[in-house]
Amino acid sequence: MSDASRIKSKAVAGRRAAFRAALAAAYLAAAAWAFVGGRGHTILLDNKSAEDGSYAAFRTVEASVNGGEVQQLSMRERVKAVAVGQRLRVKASANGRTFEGEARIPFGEDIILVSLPKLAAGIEPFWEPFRSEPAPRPAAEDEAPPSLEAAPSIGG
Amino acid sequence: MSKKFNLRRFAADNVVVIIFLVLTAAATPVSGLSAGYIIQEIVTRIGRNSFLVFSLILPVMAGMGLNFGMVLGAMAGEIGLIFAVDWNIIGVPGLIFANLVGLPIAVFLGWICGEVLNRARGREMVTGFILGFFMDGLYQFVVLYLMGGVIPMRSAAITLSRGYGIRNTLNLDSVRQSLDRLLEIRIAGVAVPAATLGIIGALCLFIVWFRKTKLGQDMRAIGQDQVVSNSAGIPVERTRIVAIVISTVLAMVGQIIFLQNMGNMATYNAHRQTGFFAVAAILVGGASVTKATIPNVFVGVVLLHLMYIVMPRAGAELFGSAQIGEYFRDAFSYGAIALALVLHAWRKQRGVEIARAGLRGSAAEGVGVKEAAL
Repeated sequence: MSDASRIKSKAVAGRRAAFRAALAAAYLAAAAWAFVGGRGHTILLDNKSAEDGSYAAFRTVEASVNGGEVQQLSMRERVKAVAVGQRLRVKASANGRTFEGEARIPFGEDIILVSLPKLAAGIEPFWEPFRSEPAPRPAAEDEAPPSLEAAPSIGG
Repeated sequence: MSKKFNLRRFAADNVVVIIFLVLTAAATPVSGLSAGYIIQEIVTRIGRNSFLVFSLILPVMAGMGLNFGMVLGAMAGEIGLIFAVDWNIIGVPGLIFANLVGLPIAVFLGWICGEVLNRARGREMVTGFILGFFMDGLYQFVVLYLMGGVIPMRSAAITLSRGYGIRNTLNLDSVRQSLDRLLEIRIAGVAVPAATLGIIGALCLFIVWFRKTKLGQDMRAIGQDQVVSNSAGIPVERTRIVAIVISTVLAMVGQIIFLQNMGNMATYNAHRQTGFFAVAAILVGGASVTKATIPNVFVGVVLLHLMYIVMPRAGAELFGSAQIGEYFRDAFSYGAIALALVLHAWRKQRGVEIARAGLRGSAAEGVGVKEAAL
């Protein structure tokens, strides 16, 4: 093999390796973006008074999460919303006033409890991770076993 | 010199298309469905199914017949979706995540499939078909026993009560129609999933471009004659594996698009009919075991689904039972596959006979006439 062709094949191999490395990096970057930016979190909007009386619930309050649907809560009510990604932005309005709060959802937390009266009173943090007891699994006898038969009709 | 149009030859080439055209043309008015409803359903189903059917084109180009092994790609897509749902990744990022998880699995399975098919040359279709059943067994093992046990799963909602294994039906609410609704355009009252159709359009452009590349030309050459291609220095085995890997990856993406549109997934069954459906669609569109084009895909999806839409209603109107229409549509779908395969075998046999007659040098003029008739 001549020197020129050896240099050329080296250059091709180098280019190929660089392309493959870039492809792997793009794959990992896309996976990380989808994994972090696309994760859904359950946000529990809460309108309850503090036990120690440090903040009081509203008669009615309207709130939205990350610019989503506006939900109305009565006193002692709790509703569910969904936040996609790690950023949490809550906007609430009650008694003619508007309150806003922002936070970063810790990685690995699935459910966040947001206290709207706390947010209105300016108490930080106005949110806390919500960890409930795992829901009891249905008893084995109540659950149909996986069926390997009865494939769906052709074409769906 | 332009060829003269030969009606007999045209009919022989397109007999499956003509049968379906006649069937649907007869059933449509009987069904009593409005044109608006039918158009909406067709548009939705083109978006839902076309990608899967496109995954069959490259193996046909490489002379490997209809890739029943595409089921492997469908399984990879389903595994990707299981993880996307388990991690609660919502919307389009959820679909991208499912694709990224499914991609290495699909490449690996495609490579295995390609290696096996290289060892079963000439019997690729039946081998791919049986390979699909074999891999289905492995899929059941992974999803039914390893997931939740060896492979950690976060969500108790998708695992079986015993603590391992995935439930029968997976709710895909987190990604349901996220691609279809990403860019939905209304044209004359018909909702058009522009993003999905855009991706299908991009795939069409990719196939057109791919045919012109060195690899595409190699595949076409191998499809024509493997021995000559090998003599010409084309790496036949490697190229055939690449064709199957691409097909498997496309099937994976297609299955994810299909399932996001459906909104739920029969964990253990969803992939089983995928190969049958895609093969039926492309054959109904006028493709054969040796030739498949982009128009074949669209014609096939439209015709097959038109039959799916109108047959149950036509059955209900004619016989008082939609179930009879369902039986009809399944029978005709499988019938299309059988007819196309029989026609292919018949044409091949005739070609061999004519070539033999040509070699004998007998009745050269007659051979010319016979060739024209083929």
